[in-house]
Amino acid sequence: MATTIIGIADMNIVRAPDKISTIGLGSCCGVVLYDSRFKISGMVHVLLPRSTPGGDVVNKAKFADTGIVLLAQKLAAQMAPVKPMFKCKLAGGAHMFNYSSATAKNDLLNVGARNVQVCKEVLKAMRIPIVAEDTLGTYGRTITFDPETEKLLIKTAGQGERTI
Amino acid sequence: MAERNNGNMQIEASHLDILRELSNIGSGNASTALATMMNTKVDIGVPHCELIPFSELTKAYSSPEEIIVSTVVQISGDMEGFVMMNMPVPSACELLTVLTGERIDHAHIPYTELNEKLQPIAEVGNILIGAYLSALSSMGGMTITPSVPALAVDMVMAVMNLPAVVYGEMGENALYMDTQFISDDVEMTGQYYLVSTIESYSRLLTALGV
Repeated sequence: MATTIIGIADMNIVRAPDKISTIGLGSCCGVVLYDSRFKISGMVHVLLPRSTPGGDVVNKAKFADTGIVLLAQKLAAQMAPVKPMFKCKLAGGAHMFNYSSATAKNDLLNVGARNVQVCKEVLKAMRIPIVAEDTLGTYGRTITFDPETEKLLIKTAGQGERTI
Repeated sequence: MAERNNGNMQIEASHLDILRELSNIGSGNASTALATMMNTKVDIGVPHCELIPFSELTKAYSSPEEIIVSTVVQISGDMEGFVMMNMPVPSACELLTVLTGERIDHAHIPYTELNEKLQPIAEVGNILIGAYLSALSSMGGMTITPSVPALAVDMVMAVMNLPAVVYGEMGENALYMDTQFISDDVEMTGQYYLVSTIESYSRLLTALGV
């Protein structure tokens, strides 16, 4: 049993009994897609909400819109020819610095909320249900998903640990 | 200089040298302010200025989960972006002890209390970042307006999402511009980071006649 750790703007896929984890989500979002029938799951660590339309995206894992779609494609390829039935668990999108949105001169400081919003829009468009989420807030999160139990463990610096 | 989404941004090596020197001068000014405030000697380390992948933003720390105290000031005007001052928790506590006389038993108090006690670091950070910026603006003859400071006591990786977001729009690398400050008399260390848009750096270099 091993734990695969993914970095910022990165994605990977694991099968039970292996786990998948990402460390220190701040304004970034961790999107976990899994299919109960296959004990398989993938995680993408999204940095920004949307890529430029028509732009040549070098690293699709960086953006919510391209990253979630690519992760779903990669997972589906592992399950083919069976049609996937994905579920999602979502974490992150924090507002790390206590600026009020009125003070913030641009949306860089509010990127967390935008990330969460776009992740939800993309998942809705793909008809993937969000089973559980732990988003927004003002603190960082380290998350670990276990495809065996389908539980997402969330560790924080000051808000304790929880499982969703 | 760099197009959004389009691979890695490029900065000439000679320009990186100039930016490194600027960060050296900014940090030097800030550290002088800190030394005066603490009435002790504060040294600065060799400044870094390089393009690195996002995953290496926390390379100066023991782990991406290490808890740090980070003050951020947003800047606008001729330069846009942020300046960050990061300190390990024991160093921030030590600094407050020198300034206020109050001892903070950081290893034994709950996070909420620690977070509350560390709030004054935002004001200290604000003064030091102000000194950093005044060196930059006077050299380049630029107007740089700082915002009020904001503080986070959290995992270093979560905090360093900020530079990743700023540079993520432009490519796969972050411009990593940091200087460490160290005091031997008081066990204290920390780092300044200048996190500014590429357009701002171009403007700064132009202002310097590069």
